[in-house]
Amino acid sequence: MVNRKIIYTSPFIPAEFIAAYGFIPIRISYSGDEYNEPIKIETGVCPYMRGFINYSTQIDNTSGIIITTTCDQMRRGSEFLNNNSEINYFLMNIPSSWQTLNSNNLYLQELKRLGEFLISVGGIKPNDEKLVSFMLSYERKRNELLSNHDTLSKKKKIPIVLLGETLTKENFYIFDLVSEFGGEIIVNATENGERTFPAKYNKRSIKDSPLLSLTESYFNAIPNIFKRPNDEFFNWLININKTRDILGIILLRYIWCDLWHSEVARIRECLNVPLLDIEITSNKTILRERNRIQAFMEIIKCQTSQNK
Amino acid sequence: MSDVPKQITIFEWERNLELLNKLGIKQPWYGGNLSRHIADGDTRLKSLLFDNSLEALNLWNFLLTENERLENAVQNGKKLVGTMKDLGTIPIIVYSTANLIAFYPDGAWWIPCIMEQNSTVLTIADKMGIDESFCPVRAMLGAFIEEGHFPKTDLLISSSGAICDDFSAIAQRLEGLGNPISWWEIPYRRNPNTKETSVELPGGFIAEASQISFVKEELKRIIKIISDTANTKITNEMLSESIAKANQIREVLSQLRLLTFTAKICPLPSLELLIAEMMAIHYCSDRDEVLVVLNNLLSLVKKRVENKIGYFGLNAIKVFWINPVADIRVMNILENCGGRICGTEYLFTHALDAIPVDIEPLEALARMALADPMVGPSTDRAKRICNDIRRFGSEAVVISKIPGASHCALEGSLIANTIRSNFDIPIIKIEVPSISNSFEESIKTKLSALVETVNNNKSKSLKII
Repeated sequence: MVNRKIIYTSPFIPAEFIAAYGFIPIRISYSGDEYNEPIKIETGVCPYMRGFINYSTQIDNTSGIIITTTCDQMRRGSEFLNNNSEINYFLMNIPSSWQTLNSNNLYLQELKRLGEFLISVGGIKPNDEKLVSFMLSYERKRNELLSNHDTLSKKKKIPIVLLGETLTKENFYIFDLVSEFGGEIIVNATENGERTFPAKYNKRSIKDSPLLSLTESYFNAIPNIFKRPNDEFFNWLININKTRDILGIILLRYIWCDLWHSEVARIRECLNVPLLDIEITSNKTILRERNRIQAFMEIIKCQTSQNK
Repeated sequence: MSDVPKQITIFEWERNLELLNKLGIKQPWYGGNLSRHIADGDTRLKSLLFDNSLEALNLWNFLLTENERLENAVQNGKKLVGTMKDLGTIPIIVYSTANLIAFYPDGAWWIPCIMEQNSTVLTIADKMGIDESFCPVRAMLGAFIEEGHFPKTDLLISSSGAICDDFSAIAQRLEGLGNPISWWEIPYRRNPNTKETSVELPGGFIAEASQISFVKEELKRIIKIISDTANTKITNEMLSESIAKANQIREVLSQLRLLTFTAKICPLPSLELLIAEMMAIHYCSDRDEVLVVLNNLLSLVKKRVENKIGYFGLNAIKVFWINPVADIRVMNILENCGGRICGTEYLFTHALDAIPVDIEPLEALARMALADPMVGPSTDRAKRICNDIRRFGSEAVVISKIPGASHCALEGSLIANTIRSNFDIPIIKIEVPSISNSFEESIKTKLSALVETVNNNKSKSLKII
């Protein structure tokens, strides 16, 4: 089949699942600031959601767009896709409560429903063997990425965790900025970083039920701020703090994103390292925050020297 | 004291009450001078206008004495269940038991309005990192920390999933402070595809059958938790009885709304009707007394309609109001500007609809929960609003944005577009903060402009004829 794109945004959508149906899964990390339709700028509108919806409707050769229910902004944003009959989109229901069999079953059923959507837009349902093959292949690639990351992180700079929502391409600049001021982002814990990699597949059960394996590794295992309760997210952070010797956290959150904003104080309380809270309003935010980032790195340097 | 309906201030109520007392008219145990609540810190009452009937007085006193009721209940050995966000479903389960009381801590969102500067709940929320970019329901967080606004709860239950981000975030923050919450999931209500089984919900929305099954499982889990708290096994019979009582209250409210919205002369001001509607969600912590209060209010309205007496004259513009206001004084302002409320959608229409009794109770409750207008697309909500606009003959629409509320950013446009495609009536969006004093002139200007627009359109129509 002709390679066609499926646009998606959430880490809870397994890319390998989409690929197994014969599509190219493309996770958009682009702000789309310059597009003003279908969602206009308005007070209270999350710029990331707006950018994603507006940009994804402009991409050519798209078979479909997949979004999730993990935040109110995206749920409302999806209605603008619904108003455009030329766009094939799928709203995947990702439960917030995650500790019950009921929620796990719902996620699994949503994967099946996603499969039906992919067929409806031209995909071919893979048999279990093919799906497992894609799952293991993607897992190998994720492992490679993580091992490369470990190699890169052996430089002697101030280790920083970058935490928060999806990092868009315009904001990748932050890596250079932190490096310029003597730091290194050793853990990308944003929504498109290692925090949201799925857990390793259970090799014993993956062949028996690949969908159940996807549920266990994605839905159950990815720590996230929207989950209720979201203690596992904080446990993950505490663990990172212990195991990676981090000296600071930079938190990137979008303006009007209540889910991240509400947890800033708790993140600060649960980790005993300095936290820089950056509210992203546009794709120029990181540039504007240069001085703050520099000051933040200097504070950490001073603290580190004093401790020595 | 006259039978002629009149909006009066709290101080005029003091004089009226003296007369009532002289006439030997008995009030319920929670009755008395409204102005005594000012001493408790509810100073906003000084700025409001009240209906001058005894029935309205009882309504207000019933509302403003809720905390006393909760304290008494706890002292009498009842356990307190704080139910959050679902607005109508869980209290039905709680009230099926004899020794539990349910209330919504969400109601704390009105504390900054009613108590004005006397409350520090918002300051506390600010210090917790929940600033004014969040919806005024952040006051709930402050209320839990400040204490004294309601007794300590024995159990906290909150819906999660397709709920607004503000509430979800604030409830999670509350749990993070050491208040365990029993979460239950409400999935985003979607329209079934052609291969799936459709089920019509109370109120007319459609859901897919497996979503109802999902919610049933969630409610089973919550029923178990409530049962354990009550030390009582909750049976289907108990649930059915509780549903029947809920339906009694909903029937009274349904009649009250229909009469008020369709009467030629408005028989009841919008503020009293707003309070009455709010009582549907948890009965203001006394399920038996709320029926008395509402039935009396309904009798009053019937009498006024029959006698063709009321407020605002025949020419008051009929306004459909969407979303509750953080500052209830704005309802008075609308009426001062020449409008009257003929239609409301305060985010909990599912708590006003009759719950089906021809199906097993858990199925009925699950359908009701999924009928929450906030759980599905805004366009579904808008279609229901359009049906009501037709039913009530509304001439204009006000979409009242709640500052900081995650759903308000986009839903206003979605709802307005749907209404525009069905009606040629003016629509405005206003934002109402918890204390609207500094915005009052701006709000008045917008509401007056809306009224003028409708009047101008009417004049033009007459000229064409």
